[in-house]
Formats: sequence, structure tokens, C-alpha cells
Amino acid sequence: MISFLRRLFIPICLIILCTMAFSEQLALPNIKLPMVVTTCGQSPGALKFRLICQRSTIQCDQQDLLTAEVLRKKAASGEGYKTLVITTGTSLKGMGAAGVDINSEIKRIKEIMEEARKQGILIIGAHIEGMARRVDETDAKSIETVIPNCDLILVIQESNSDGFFTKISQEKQIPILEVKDVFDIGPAIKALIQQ
Amino acid sequence: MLNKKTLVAIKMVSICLSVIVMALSGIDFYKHRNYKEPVVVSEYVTQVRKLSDYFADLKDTINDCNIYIFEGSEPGGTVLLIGGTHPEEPGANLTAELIVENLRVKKGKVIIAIRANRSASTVTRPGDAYPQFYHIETPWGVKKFRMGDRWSNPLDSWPDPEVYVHYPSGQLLAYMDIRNFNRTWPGKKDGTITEKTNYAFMQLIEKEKVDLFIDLHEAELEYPVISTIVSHQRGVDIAAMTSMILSSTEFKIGMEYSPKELHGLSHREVGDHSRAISLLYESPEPFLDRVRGITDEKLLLTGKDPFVMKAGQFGLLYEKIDENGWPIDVRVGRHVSTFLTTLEMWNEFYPDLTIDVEGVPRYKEVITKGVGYYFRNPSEVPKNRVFDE
Repeated sequence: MISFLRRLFIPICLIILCTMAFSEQLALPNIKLPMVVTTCGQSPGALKFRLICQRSTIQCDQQDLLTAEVLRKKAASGEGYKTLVITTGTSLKGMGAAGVDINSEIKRIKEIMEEARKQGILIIGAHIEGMARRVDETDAKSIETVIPNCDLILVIQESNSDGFFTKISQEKQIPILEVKDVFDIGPAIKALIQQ
Repeated sequence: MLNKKTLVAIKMVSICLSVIVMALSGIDFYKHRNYKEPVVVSEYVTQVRKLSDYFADLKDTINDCNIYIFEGSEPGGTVLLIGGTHPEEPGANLTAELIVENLRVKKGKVIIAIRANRSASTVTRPGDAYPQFYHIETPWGVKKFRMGDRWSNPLDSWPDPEVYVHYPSGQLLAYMDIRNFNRTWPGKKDGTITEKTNYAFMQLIEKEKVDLFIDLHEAELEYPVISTIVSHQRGVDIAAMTSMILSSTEFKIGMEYSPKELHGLSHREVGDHSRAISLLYESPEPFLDRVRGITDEKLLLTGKDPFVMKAGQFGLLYEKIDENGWPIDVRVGRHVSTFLTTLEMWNEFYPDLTIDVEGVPRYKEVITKGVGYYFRNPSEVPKNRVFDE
């Protein structure tokens, strides 16, 4: 009898752990349109997100240098954005091309996140370019600015291969949407729009 | 205290030794500079022209390189692919040559230069222990290639200025970059041989109505712009889609925007000064890393280095490296697949300017068979298919 219970011990523990994990999984929010994507650090993440949306016939504006003022004007026109996607991870070439640096990027992103909060816009913090955008201090600053302060974390498997984003999700109680590949983002977003 | 006679004898011996060393080195340098690499063009080539056909000033100069033109039976878009911008990056010229020897174009036009800056392929960096040649195994024997440098040969362009003032932007760059073919775009009609070569390519782009321009490179793992496609702003959709598709299907490759204020580079100036969309590919080459160990042909071709690996363990690199290194087959395979995927994306975005090609292997095939598998035996084809690089 004891040996039988011993044999059952590990499977029972696994079942309990899985149940806990699923019961604690946070509900994913609905995504409403119109949607805009910007980047914190001028990597091509926002461009890629827009192209992915385009492939899945989801309307998404790409504004790499989106400002709080633009969000206010859109809201005043009656066509305010309902969802804001901010891709994280930085590009020195991209920041050079845009004439910005990481400090001005963080300032801009904090301002637009604050404005988005005021307007009740859903904020999605994304990391969709893999470990290549988790290399240095500027990547870390970009991620720290956005991810712990968003409403939904969107990552591809490679970006979260060390569980970094899952940990933030658990600590900050932010739902996380992890997809295998960048091309899985479109259908996943579409499913949340159609919920 | 040496007496006068002994001193004269020592000086004479020193002079003799110096002359012998200079003569032996000179013979080596001469052989390297004049070594000709035979290229067997694909049977589907339409024309082989010279760069001087587009800018006569280059005629009979070291940089009057071959221009291989492949035209399909149906009209379409035109792409220009160049290797050999920096001949210390062999993945670039080997890729260009592999394509020249195997390509068939069904629709549109493909133009290729294997050694865009030949002058830089006639000099190496002896002070950095660069090998003069490297060798690739093929099914019919060993094929020998000139190793080169990042900069044009000082024999062709000397002296360098105190500061290089880029034309036409006026941006100040390091003095030796006046000989760097990827700092001298869009070139200068009456400039140095490097600037004239860029100018000639700009004339080619205009005369051949090039729609898409691709510049092949390799980079050290300590450099942030690695394993990536750098794109002019007019090409970002194509570059991003190429990056995403390759990263999902074959290998990880990023994408970067070309900085608008960084002048002289092909991804900036070709796009700014012509109708062509300009892209630049980078694959990893540990040979170029400053922290590398023994600098020899083996490192150049295998990309295996314990010191670069150690740097990786300390988080000092922007690309992964393990005991498998970055072999030349992998680096060339990446470039050919990136080229083919770029064309697929080009055709998707510009269906009226389709460029339809075949005969070029993809990443996995190059790794499986080796880059040498795709080089033809010059002694087994008619002489009119063999061209020297």
C-alpha cells in the first residue's frame, strides 16, 4: 500500500501543480480597435508587428515616434485609439536613424503610457524579436519601462526562453500571451479581438 | 666599442638581409596581387560586361571588375548584387560567385559583381597575420581564392588625407576610410579609385534601371550590427518580412534601419541617390573579432575560436558562438537564402517587377553539400564560360 502511494506521489503532485498554474493564469483582455503600435528603442519590432497584422487583415497604425499629443488629438477627433502596442528591445542603428537616444525614448514612452491610462487605452507590452533584443543595457531599460506597466504582455517563445517575462507576469499579475513564432501573433491577436 | 670596419660589415649584412626579406615579401605580394581566380559562369548568363562600360575612367584599372548579367525571357524587375565590398569577408564574394556559377533567371534581370572593389582584394593585413589565400574543397579539386582587406590597396590609392571628407555630405570620417568602399558611396567622378568605383556602380544602377540593390558583408561578433539585414527606409517592409520568414523557417536573422545621418554606406547612399531600394546583409565572421586567437586560414573558414567563445561566455558578443564556430558553408548558406527570400518578398510587394530565379541552392543544401560543391571545374567547360576575377 505504501509503495503504491509512493508511486502515485509524483503524478499527484504534478496534477496539483498544473491545476494551480491554470487556476492562477490571468484572463487575457479583449483587444479593441483601432490599434496603434510604437517602439521603445526604435528596433523594427513595431514594423514587424504592423506587417504581421497586415497579413492577418488586422488594421494597425505604425507610429515609431508616437507622442502623447498624437494620442490626445486622436481622442479629440472622436477616433481615439483603443489599443496601444509598444514593442521593446532597442536598435542603436534605429535610434540613430530616428535621431533619438534611449533616455528620450523612455521619456516619450512614459508620457504616452500615462496618456493611454487616462484614456483607458489597453496597453500591450511586446517583445517579439527574440534574444537578439535582450542583449545590452538599453534593451533592459526599454523592457523595464514597458513590460511591468502594461495590461498584456505579448512575447514569442524565444524572447521568453529563460522565463524572464513569465516571472514579470507572475510578480506583477499581468496576463501574458506567449506565441511560438512571430507569425502566430496575427491569429492570436485576431482571437482576442473576436472574443 | 666597434671599429669602423666591423660597423660597415654589420651595416652591409643588415642591408643585404633587408633586401632579401623585401625581395621575398615583394614576390609574395606580387603573386597575391596578380593571382587570377577563374569563374565558370552559369550557362544561362546573358552578358559579361566590365564596370568601365558604365564609367570609362575605370578602363584598364585594377577595379575594372566583371559585371555578370542574367536576363530572363520575360521582363520584370532588376536586382544588383555585389560581393567583395570588403574582401576580408569571404562569405560575400563566395556567395556572389556561387550564384554566378549556378543561376538561371526566368523573369526579370539579375546583375552580379563578385569583387566589387578588386583593389582591396589585392592586399591583406600582414601586421594582423592575415593569410594571403584561402582554399575551398570542390568535387574536382581545391579552388584557391585571394584573401583581402577592408580597404583598397595603398598601391592604388595613396596617400590618405589627414581626415576623409565624405562627398557629397561633407561628413568627416577616419582618414583610411577614403579607401573603404562602403564609406565612399555614392562615389565621386574625379575622386580616388575607390570613389570612382562607387561612382561607376551608381552609373550602372542608373543605366540598367536597377530596382533593388544588395551588398553582401560579414561582421565580427563584437559588433552589434550582425546576423541582420540593414535597410534603407524604402526597403523596410521587404527586409522585415525577409527577416521574419527566415527566422521562422531557416535561421535567425534580424533587421536594422539605415541611419539617415551616417553617410557613405551603401544602404544609405544607394537608396538616397538612385531609384534602387538598398539592402545590406551581415553574417557572422569570428575571424574579424579583435579578441580572436590564432589568425589563420583555418579560423577564416571554420569560424572556430576559443577566445571568441570565451568572450561570448562573458556576454561580450552580439551573436552566439559555440564549439561549432561559424563555418564558411553556414555563412554562405545564410547569404544565399537571404537573397532568395528577399526576391520572394520583392515579388510579393512588387508583382509588376517580378524577378524569378532558379538554380541557386538554399541554406540547408549549402551546409549539407558544402559551398565548394557548387563551383564548376574551369577545365571542363568551354573557355568562353571562364572569366578571371
